[in-house]
Amino acid sequence: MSEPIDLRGVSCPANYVRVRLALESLPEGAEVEVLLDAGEPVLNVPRSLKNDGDRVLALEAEEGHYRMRVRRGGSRDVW
Amino acid sequence: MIDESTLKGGGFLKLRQKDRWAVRVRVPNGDMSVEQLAALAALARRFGDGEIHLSVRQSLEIRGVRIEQFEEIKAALEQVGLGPGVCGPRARNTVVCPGVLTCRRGLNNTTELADRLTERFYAREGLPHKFKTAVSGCPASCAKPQGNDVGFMGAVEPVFDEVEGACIACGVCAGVCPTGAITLDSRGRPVIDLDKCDLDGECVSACPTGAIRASKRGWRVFLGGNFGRHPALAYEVGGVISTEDAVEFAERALEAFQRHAQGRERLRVVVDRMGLDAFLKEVRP
Ligand code: SF4
Repeated sequence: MSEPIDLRGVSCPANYVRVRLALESLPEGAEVEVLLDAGEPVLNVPRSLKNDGDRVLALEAEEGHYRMRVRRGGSRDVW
Repeated sequence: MIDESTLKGGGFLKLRQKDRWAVRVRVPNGDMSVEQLAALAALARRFGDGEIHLSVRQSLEIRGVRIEQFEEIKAALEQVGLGPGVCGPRARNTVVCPGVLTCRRGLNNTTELADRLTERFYAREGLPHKFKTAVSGCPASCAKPQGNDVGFMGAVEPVFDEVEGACIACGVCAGVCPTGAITLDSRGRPVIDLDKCDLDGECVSACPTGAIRASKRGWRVFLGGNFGRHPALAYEVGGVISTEDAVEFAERALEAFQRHAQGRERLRVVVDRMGLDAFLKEVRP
């Protein structure tokens, strides 16, 4: 996988839009890694991706931020 | 000749200005088509003072009309699927937020419930006093269910669905919970304390994997709220009920209100005189 998309310091909803655009440029099933700030960004960006039908595969706390791996498409339809 | 109380029932209010009235127009669920809005603007220009007033309970009012114009305005409203609002001691319009259809926070279908309540008792006459209802899609309470005689609030009961093994131990659920009802166990998985949960569905919505899902979706119930001279927040009645049961609850509360009011009393006064439990026995025997 290529370099993570670094969205530290990028606030909502710009961070979400950046991930969305990155995913749209890739085929179904492709994965990206994203760095997200703690607080609002990590509480909101993953849910927006889920609502769009993408699948968050991993989301782990690191120093002051989170590392998220998300796959385009493939979300469980739960909401 | 139309007498003043008939006019009031039909949503006509006497203004301070001599011979001038306001026509209250009900806006179901706060939604109007642009065609209806244009028709209303034309009516306000023709019969009113050229302005349209937005009431605090989701009605629109054309002001400055004359009493003789009543029938003509009513007919014109009906042509575009609109009708007069109500005032006085009647079942008022149900105030409603957008709910789950468009609002990202909405937990339940507010307009469906509001339509059902409207169908059941909107404009019902012969009440001791006004009877107000409101439906809010979530605990943010934009439609103020706690400030109405009967109010409903969208609610979601969460469950952690371990069987699916979807949890990635991210802790987002615990992070978003506003009431501290979620703690994480040693493997980073949520433990939900339903006693602390305010059923706002935040964890269900925020969980990126769907490992927390709604086990129940319905309405929290509020009774006896009002503003006016003696503001009082409603009592929460407890439980999460279906849309069907919500309509029945409101209907029975309205009937019990009629049976037990002594003169011109708001529901809250009746409930407090009888005691909440005694009143509820009448509502759900
Ligand atoms: S938000 Fe969902 S995936 Fe993350 S810890 Fe809670 S239940 Fe698990």
